[in-house]
Amino acid sequence: MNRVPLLEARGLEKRYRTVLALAGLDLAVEPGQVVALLGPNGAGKSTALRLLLGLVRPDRGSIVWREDGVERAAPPPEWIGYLPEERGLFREAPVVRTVAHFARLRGMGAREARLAAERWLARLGLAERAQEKPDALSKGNQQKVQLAAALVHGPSFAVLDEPFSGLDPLNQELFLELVAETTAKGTGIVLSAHHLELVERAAHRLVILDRGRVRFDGTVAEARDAARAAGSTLELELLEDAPPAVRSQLEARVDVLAVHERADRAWTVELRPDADISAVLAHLGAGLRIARIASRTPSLHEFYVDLLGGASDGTAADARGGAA
Amino acid sequence: MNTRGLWIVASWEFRRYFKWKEQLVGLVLLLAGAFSSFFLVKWVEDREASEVALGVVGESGVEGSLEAARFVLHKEPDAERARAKVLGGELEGWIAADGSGAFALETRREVPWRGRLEEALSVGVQPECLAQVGLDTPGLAALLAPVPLEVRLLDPEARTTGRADKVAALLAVFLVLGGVVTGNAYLMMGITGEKQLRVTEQVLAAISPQTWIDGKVLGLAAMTLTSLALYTVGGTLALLAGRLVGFVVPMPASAADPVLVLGLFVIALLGFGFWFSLFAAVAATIDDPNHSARGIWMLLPGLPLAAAFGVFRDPESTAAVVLGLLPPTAPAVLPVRLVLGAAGPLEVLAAAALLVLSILALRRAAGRVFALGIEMRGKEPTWGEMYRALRRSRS
Repeated sequence: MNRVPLLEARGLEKRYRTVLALAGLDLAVEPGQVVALLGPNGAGKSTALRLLLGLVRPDRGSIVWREDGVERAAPPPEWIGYLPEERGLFREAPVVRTVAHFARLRGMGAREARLAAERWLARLGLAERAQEKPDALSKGNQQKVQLAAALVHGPSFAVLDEPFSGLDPLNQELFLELVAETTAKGTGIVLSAHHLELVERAAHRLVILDRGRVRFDGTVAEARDAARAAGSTLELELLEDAPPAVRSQLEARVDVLAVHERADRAWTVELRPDADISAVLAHLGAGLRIARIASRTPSLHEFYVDLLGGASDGTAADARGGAA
Repeated sequence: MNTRGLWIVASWEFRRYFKWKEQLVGLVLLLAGAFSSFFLVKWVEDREASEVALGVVGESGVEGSLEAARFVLHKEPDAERARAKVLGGELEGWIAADGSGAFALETRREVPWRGRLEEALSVGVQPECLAQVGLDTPGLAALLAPVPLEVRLLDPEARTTGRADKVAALLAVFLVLGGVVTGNAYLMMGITGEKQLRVTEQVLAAISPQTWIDGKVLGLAAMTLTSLALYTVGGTLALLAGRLVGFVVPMPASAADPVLVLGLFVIALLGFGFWFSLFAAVAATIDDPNHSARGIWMLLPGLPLAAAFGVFRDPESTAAVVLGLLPPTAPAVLPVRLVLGAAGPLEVLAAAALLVLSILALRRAAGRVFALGIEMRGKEPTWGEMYRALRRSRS
């Protein structure tokens, strides 16, 4: 993408009384780019989002916003869209009024806001429920209304906090589609989420936080490369029980890290990153009758767990590839 | 100042709480209650004043005064006959006179005309009693008449006030304080409730905490004032309508003074602004109203109410003048002084100026404290933290 960032944050630091919530976050978001903030609960994601939105002031660091060559320390309201994690709607007002109200606060005229709100609710399949109050809607539909409220005015930058929360698989797909449509128009997005398989599909860049510090900052491809560097895995399903010698011979190979055997004749073979897979396959084929075989590199989920797995006891090492 | 954002928030808050349908239903119910009470009272009065069939046994000597009081007298030969007619429903009661000026009354149950009877009997026996002490009726009237006292007020701005003015002053105090208490409840509910939701963050991502607080205060003040105006106009129309059916309530002289009415309106509006700004600041510090000790602040509007009652007896005292100028008490005390005292336009202007200055300071403090409260999600800022935040933003 290599364009001038819409948003550039440098060295953001925030402390709540005695707790250091964020320690020196650098973040840049380009037009049309989706940056995902990941991390366990209490990692500092919400603090980072609240700092970007101007809801809290940083103790240290700066944020610069840019659009059409104009640089600002604080963005005008029409630049920004925000989807809070939950409960971001007025409970006593019909949802179409709430969406239109937020559109008006973001700079739209009354009539224009009303029409845009109706259009967005229709796009999200909620046209017939526009006059209902949020409590009458399911959690997933409330989340759809929140997305409408965040994007109704066509912002150039959006913050989506847990956008996939409460959505069924079909609506998750709809959200991914809308995120893609929005970024295609040049909107930059920062999102925070725990659904890593969806993040992997939506985001261009990942920033993984842990206890306020950045543990990984790179593209999704870099995260995959980093995951690959940890090795790959072969999944086997056997037609019959394997002779005992085959497993011990396999484990003796220098490019095999471990062999896990399950009761249903399914094996998982963990390989070193430099393993000669064809040689391993030849070895397996000589001693076993195989029904199915698959090679798999670690997913973002495994990369994340591997990266932060020891974090809770403070023993985790920093990220391997692309670490900040 | 973001005037566009302020207007959007104010109109949202106004429409959020002010529902025409509910207001009109409330007003209709209130008027229906008032008219029902009026007709009930009138029915009881009519019943008390209606003709009463009364049996008389013996020589009473007071027939004239009884007939003048709408008693239809039936001479009965003896007590048994009279009692039988009462029990049979022909008579509503009967009296026995022994000629000495003492009487006995028998009825089936308590009757509403007993007071009227006692009065008529007193009037009937009065001449004989007066004669015994050497007096006649005109002589008694002269004895009991109050000493003539003509009152002249030398201050050209002074007004004579009657009972209607006192009632009007009391109503003004209750309307203003009723509005303050109702508006404060809405404000407390709105601010703390929304803070617990994330909708506040959604709003504050678009506008500043100051604009949000200002919009809420303005919208709620407008809502409360509109509601009170609706009830005042509705009540006045009802009183006028009541005249058509004979329900005449004396109108206070102050109601005909447009400058005084304008002064009341301005002080009420600024009073709402003052109290709502203060309560916005208090609500901004509260994270959860169910577990906060700061809810005790809700009792504060009792202070001006007590002050208003304190100055009712002497609205011209020095204390009344001072309390009428102080921003916390002015919204309740100055209406009393305007209606019953000699508060003039200058005093209203001075009180209004002090209220405006207080509102400006309080709204600013509320905005700062609210911004601090948002930073401390899940915790209430301490007094020290609030003090530091206010000092920091001033420097």
